[in-house]
Amino acid sequence: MKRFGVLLGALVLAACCIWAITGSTDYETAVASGENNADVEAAIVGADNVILSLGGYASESGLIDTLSDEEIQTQIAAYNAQVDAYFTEDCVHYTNLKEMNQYYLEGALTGKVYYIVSSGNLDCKLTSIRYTDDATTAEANGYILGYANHVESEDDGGFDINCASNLLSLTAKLEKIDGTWKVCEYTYDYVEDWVPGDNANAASDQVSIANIADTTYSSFQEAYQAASEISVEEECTIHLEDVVDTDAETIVTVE
Amino acid sequence: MMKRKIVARSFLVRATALAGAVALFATSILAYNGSNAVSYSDRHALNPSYLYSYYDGADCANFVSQCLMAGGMTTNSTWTMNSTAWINADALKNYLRDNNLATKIGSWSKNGTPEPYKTYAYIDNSANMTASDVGRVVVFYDWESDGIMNHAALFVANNSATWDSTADGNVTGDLINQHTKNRKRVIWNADKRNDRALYTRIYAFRIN
Repeated sequence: MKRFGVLLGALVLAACCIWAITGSTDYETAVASGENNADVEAAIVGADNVILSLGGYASESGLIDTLSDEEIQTQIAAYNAQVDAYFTEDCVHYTNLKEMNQYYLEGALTGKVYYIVSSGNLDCKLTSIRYTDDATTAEANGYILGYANHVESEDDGGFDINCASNLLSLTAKLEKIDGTWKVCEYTYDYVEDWVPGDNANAASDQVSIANIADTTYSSFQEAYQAASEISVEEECTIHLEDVVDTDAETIVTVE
Repeated sequence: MMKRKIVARSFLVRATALAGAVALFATSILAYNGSNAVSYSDRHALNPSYLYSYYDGADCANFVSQCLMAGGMTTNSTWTMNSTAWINADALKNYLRDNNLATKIGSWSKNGTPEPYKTYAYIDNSANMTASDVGRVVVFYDWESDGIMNHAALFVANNSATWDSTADGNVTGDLINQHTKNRKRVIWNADKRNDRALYTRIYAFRIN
């Protein structure tokens, strides 16, 4: 009877150990799943897009002055919704971006054109992601390539095109809130930049693109049309591969 | 007799202390030479010195620190080669400010920004710095508008033509030298080559 008790105890202990080991492995696998990694990357890219679109508005004249107060408030609300979607409320960018966007759209941009024709991210590579064991927070490192292409009024009354693309190194901390990853800390530094005309040579289409960017236009519509013809995705000569092995697996750890 | 000796010794101690203080003051004020800082900066903006470590992808403050040392700023246990205050832009700013080695002379951004880190809109490519500021002003960049400096550069020329018209356009203005990305005599506000210029705040600190 005593021997049976010892045997039973050993069996229970072994079962617990097997459950703990396999359960833990399953759990870590789940935490470090491709789905989570993709969601973390999407959150970072989304957050970066919100920064790139700061001060953006839609206006046929290029001027914010021609919009009604209601239209301006609608555009501010749309931007705020983007901030809500990608940043946690305690993130410094959450407050900064909302306040600055409102500052620009309600006054600082009045009387001048600062019109974002297009902006966004061309590529992103996370080199590492570290999750906490409860899978509610993560810290990621990597690189991101973004751009902003905009028309700007000059003091002489003309309109210039400013188009820049920057490759950044990034560190981000994220929290999973109601099943959605949001950025709570985001810092970056510039590694490389591109403007139309960089690395241009006589045989390259970039010469014409550089000319577009160097030209001062007499009307907003003319400049807008020319800016729309710049395809940063195709023209940009900086790539993530220049600084990081994009084929390498993202290093994922769980602590 | 004894009393006279004590008075004489006391006078000697005070005179020595005063002379030391004056020498220290003179060293910190007179020794700094902006031209020397600019010369070093021009020489190594595109060709980093092999005498120092090179922080690939993050060499800006390290480079500015080298320039300041070339200008005559003396090192100490806090600000010495490869120390945090030497290689980190925010730590360098804090070191210069907190030790009264530099004073903030301006803050700018693309269209001005509200408090808590208020900045004024830069109207053109001039930061309104003068010829006497050349080599004596460190320009700090806060990419994320959070009050923490992410980048540093040295002011090297006022109202001059940029050496990189592709990056800046064919313009004149105040110029800086910097590392990461390594650039020589380019427009200080980085306006044309910054895809998030609206979110960038720039601060200038003049060496005292």
